[in-house]
Amino acid sequence: MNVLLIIFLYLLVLLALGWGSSRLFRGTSKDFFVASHSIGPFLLLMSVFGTTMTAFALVGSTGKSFERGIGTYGLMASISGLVHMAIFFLIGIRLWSLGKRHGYLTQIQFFRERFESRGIGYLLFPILVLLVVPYLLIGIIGAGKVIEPVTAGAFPAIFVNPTIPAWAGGVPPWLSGLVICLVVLTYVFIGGSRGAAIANAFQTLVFMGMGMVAFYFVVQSLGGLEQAGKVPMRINEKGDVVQDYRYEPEAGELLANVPPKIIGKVTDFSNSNLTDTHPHLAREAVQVEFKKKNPKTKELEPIEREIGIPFITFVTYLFIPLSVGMFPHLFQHWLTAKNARAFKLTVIAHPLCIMIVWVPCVLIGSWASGLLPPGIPPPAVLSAMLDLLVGDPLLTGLLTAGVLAAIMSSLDSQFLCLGTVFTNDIVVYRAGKDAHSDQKKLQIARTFIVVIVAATYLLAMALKNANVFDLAIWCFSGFAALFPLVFAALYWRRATRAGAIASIVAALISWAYFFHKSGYGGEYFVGPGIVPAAICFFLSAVSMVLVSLITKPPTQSTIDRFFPTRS
Amino acid sequence: MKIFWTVFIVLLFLHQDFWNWASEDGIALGMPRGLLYHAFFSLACSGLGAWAVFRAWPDEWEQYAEQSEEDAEGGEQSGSMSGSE
Repeated sequence: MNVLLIIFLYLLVLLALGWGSSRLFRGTSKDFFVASHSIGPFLLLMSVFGTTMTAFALVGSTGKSFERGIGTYGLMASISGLVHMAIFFLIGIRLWSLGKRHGYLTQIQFFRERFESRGIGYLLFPILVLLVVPYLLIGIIGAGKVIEPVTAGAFPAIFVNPTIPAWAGGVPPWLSGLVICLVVLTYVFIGGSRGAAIANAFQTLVFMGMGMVAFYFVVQSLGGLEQAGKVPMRINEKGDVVQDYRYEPEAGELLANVPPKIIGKVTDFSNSNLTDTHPHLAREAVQVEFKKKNPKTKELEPIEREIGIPFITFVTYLFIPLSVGMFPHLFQHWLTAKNARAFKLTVIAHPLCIMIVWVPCVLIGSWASGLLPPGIPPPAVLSAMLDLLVGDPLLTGLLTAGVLAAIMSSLDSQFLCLGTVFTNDIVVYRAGKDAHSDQKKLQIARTFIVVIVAATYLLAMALKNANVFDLAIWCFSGFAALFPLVFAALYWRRATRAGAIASIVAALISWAYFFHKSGYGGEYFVGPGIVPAAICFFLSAVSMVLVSLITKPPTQSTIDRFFPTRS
Repeated sequence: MKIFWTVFIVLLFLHQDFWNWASEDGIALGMPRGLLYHAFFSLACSGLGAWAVFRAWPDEWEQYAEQSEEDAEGGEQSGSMSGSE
């Protein structure tokens, strides 16, 4: 019950923040959509960072490191620090400047004018919605997966049909998803983008803080950093994968397993260099076969897993973080900035914020490989480690609040963004700028946000067993494939309407092809381990260049409008 | 901006630290070498961001956003803004 109480209190604080920020609301559509360009450096950093980090940041990073080891940090975090920082500096400031000068509220408004095309908006709108919706699903499904296990046993008489028997009495995903949606909807509905920015800032501080608190307690329980470094699973001289330690919660001690507990076997042990290594502490790819108990038959079944990361996968993963350049909700956050100087803190501190959140989670994930059963679902690793090593309901409640904070700080921006895009790029664009009063525009946006929240909630319930983290990578891949569009729009005068359309179509077709090949959302690599986003990006970029070069250049007035500085 | 792009490409190369690939030696500050290297890499990214902010800030884009359309018409007739891309 303590856990539930902390979650309840946290949601109440969020509602109070929403109410507080609604008192700053100026009542105009511009204030609702982009906070009247009034957000300063700190709020911008927190809202941009909170928006780009989802449940992936705490739960996903720990789970991925449990599976693949410390290479997870370089694969996803440190490269994001570099690429995101460069995008904020090279793309974000220019888009903010053009948006403020010409009054853009959405990406599509910018692309329509830059490429002199009405049609590009109608082409982009369904694609952006298609890619944002899975991102929303990640949050709602993820929240359900987090809350049910930590509240198990709270209401045994009411919730009698748990996802798995061990979680009986826990708050079911349909209820937690509904509550999360209603809370986010409330503060976005009344506070608009300013409300979302303030709530984001608070939630970002919460999930950064909770990550560090969890790390501190885990390290204490393992006997310090140095001792914790010896805990990950090891390969012995016979090629067996063993756990050298176990944690006794009652004694509160880390004890040596004598003899070491065998949990798996390296499938090809011809490489004797692997003897006495901890595969989670390096990145050399090693195939290991584990045994996992089938919950229905109770029999042990083999599962094969690759620990480490193939080099080609590591290299081509750099295309994934390019996605932030095309996130429509991030475009909207950029436009909330009071001035260009507000970006300075974000450009400098974003890589550091990533490091603060990801390093502890990646370490916990690699240590977990030496203590937890190998068959545990990766998203459950962080809470299982806390449960094993700390076992304190207060801390579990606070950490759950932190995970929810990471989830909701992305959900709010995405809901708001879809309302903004629909209102401005479809309704207002078709009817004409002056056809609707400002109040009417607000009403349309809010109505659409309610509709999209309801539709997303229903979809999330229908797909509640989907692997949310693989889905996230597909979502990022789609946006990354569209990156050549925004880069060419800002940096290449010769980029034409036909080139832009060809680029979008190439990205869409190649992404859809690989998504189909993956079985609609599974982990998928091309050839020796190339991420599909790299190929989609390449095809999109080549289409943009080739088609632009053989079609009529943009008009001089458009070039003057979008390239005002002397080159 | 040439310096920014050069350092960016150098960092892209340094990110692919194949020389640390199979090594789990040298745990320092409680971290294996590969992770510690990438934590310092994050610091270097922040350093590049700081350099960009203090030495390559796009003032011309800031001015462009703050100008009114009327000012701009006059300005654009007499040429283009100062600064470089």
